[in-house]
Amino acid sequence: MRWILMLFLGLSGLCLWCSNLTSNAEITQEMVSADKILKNLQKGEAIYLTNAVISGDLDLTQLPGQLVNLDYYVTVIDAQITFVNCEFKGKVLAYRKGDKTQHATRFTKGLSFIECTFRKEFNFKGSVVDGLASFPGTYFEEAVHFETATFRHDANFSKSIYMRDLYFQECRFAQAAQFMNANIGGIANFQGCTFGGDAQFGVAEFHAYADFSRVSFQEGVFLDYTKFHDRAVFSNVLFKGRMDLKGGLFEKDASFKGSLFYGKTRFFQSTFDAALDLSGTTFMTGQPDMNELNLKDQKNLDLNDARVNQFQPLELTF
Amino acid sequence: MKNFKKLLFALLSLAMVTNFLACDPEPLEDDGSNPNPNDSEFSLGWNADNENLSEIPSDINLGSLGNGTLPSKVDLTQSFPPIGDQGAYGTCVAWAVGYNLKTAIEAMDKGFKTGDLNASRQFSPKDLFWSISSADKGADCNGTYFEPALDVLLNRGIATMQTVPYDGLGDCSGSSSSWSGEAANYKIANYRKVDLNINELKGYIADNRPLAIGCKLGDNFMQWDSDDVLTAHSSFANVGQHANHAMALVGYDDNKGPNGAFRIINSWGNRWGDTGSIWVDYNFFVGGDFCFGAFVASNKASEIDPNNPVDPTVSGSVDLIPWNVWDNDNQSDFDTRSRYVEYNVYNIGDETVRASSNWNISYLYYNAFNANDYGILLYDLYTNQIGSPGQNGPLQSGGYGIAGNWWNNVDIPSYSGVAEEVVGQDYFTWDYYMPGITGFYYLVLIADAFDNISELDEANNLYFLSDEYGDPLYFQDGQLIGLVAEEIDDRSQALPAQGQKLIAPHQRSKANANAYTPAEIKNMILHKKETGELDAKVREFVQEKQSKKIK
Repeated sequence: MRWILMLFLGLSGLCLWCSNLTSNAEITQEMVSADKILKNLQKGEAIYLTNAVISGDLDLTQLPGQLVNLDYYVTVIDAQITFVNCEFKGKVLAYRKGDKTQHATRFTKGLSFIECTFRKEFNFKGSVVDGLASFPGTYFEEAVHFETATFRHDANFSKSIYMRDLYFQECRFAQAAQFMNANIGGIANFQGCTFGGDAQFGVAEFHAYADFSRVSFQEGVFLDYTKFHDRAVFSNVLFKGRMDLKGGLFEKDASFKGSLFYGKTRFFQSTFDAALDLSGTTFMTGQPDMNELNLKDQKNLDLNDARVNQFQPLELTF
Repeated sequence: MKNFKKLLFALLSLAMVTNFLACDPEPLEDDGSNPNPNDSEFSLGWNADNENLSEIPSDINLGSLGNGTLPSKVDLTQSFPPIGDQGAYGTCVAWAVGYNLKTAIEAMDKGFKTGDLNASRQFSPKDLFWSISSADKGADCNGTYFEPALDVLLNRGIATMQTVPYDGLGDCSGSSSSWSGEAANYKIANYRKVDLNINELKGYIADNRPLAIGCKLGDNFMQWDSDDVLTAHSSFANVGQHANHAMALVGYDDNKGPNGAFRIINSWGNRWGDTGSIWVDYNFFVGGDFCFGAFVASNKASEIDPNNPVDPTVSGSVDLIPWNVWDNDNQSDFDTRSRYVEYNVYNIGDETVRASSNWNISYLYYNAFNANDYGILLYDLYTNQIGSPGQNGPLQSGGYGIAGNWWNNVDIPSYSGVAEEVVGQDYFTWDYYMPGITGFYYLVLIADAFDNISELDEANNLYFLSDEYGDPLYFQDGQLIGLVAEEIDDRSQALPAQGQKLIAPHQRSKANANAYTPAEIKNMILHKKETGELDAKVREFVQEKQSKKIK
């Protein structure tokens, strides 16, 4: 009995100590200057920071870069970068455009910003990330730029929150791209992106214009229970794998004009409050699953030149 | 049949995959240094590195652009010719400026629509490109830039497609002299560069003024095949980092794409883009990555005052004309910005100019390449609202008039000058400090600057001071450089005889045919007066004078 009591007290004490440690960490978040991080990176050291506040602009383009063509410099970072639950007070930049030069960054190892908060601009335009790119639960207060970036490994943006516009135009996701439960307050620009692996946008919420025009989905794309509160444009998209849109919500016009669907396609239980443009679409593997489709006004459905198996006109019955 | 379908499916799939691989963006791994962008399927040809935008006058913003309520969309394509095709030649500038822009503004002036624009009403890019000096274009039809192309339209004109069809270009060094007679019938009066500002660009289009534009292209542009809105560049792996191209800006739609979009007409035939055109996102267009130059052109020079045109048949009227304007360095002041101007303004009409007309003489400087950059040097008010007849005195800031410099309660009888009537001399002398301007500027004295008086001739109200060649003066931090001050005076001309009409004193030479016309400057002054900006400029000048403790 005595041993049990001592064990109980010991465990209680340990829990209390752990609890204090956590609360102390919350109260006294470590302050780290961006300059210090840059110096460590320049020495080739990996970065691993948790519960830190990063002061100043973290401008990775300040690190030495090499000229890769006439006016284009690239900084190569060979160290793993990991931030967990950190807050960035200044800008975080991996791309800079000068009067006559551009400077981008390549990350040969993993790049992780897990549940971090970015208070200022986040610009990774033209970056290449060879390792895992992890941004789960990350919060961006200002615009986020990833135009023409290449993600060679999986990219995880699940549960990320964007208060402003998001720029992913012409990106290449070589493997899986995870945007599940993401919440995008500004315009979502994905025009011309290539998704080499599965693209998961399920339960994501788009509050402003969502532009997926000219995207190439090489594998499956999942839009289950995704909400589009503004116009959604999926025109001239190549869907090579399955396209799963179950229970999706489109409050404004939705366009799939000119898109090619090679895999199984379903719009099952999705709701279209405004226009649905399927003109010029081709469903190569047969009739898409339109069961329980909720189209507010059938006059807003455009099936002009929409085809199944290339030759048969697409016909929908409600 | 089943096997045929399978085969077709396989071929289509292969085509799609092949196409996808060709489009694969790889920004960090392309070297983007393709030395000849014309190696790609479509030819380009804007030699942007040669373009010196600082030498092209900016359009004067008369406030009609982008400030009011603009329509949500405008499309000027109905005034454009069918989509052109430059083929394998680097002649895009000639297509943008000659075939598209010139044809469209001519069509608008004459009320033609696309269906009316047969070859006799289209303008020839071959003629324009051939007419450009070999020093201003690449060998073997390999590109040119806007300034020489627009100068050809201004000084020589352009022949029609009927006379000079787009074939047999050779190496583009051929002579265009045999049809220059026809070309002379189709000149432009001026061309202006335009700020890359969304509302201003929309304003020009809404004002039926299409633009020629110079842009940088990425690989995705080259492969565009839909009416989707272009919002960003992809890689430059195929097209190179210097794929500069000229096109025409013909429309806009606020509801197209995420932010609204401009419509651009290209010269790559109908198979490219949205049957020859493309929509480009507003923000991307002006954001510093896509468009780098925009130009408007006019077939007609501005009239002096559309509401008060010159009427040589008017009799029994008045006519004010500045004369003997002399601007000089003030040798008694060590400050190199210290200057003085001597001037007089005559009434060569046959009636007295009454002080009750509340008219004024203004002296100002304006940037030779951007007249929106201007300032007041003298404001001399003639009014019966201050003092008694015959009196005069300094205007105080915040006091009478518009807080200018001097008032005169004086009438000017027929064939007399203001200096004679006010001080009994041949001219006034006025000290001033030139603000710290740097660049090329003209000085101009304007009689009846605010157009308070209906005159026999409104065209002779301006007196320009330039260098001896008619070119603008160069100032460095307010100091006149490169000339002794006396060289900008012109006292050699005799005062015109009483009643002599349509006299223009000391007009600039035709050294720069594209320089602002007197009409443009006067219209600008009138507009600045209406908006209150001129008053603010005068107050600014008065404050500077006071801070300098000048009399």
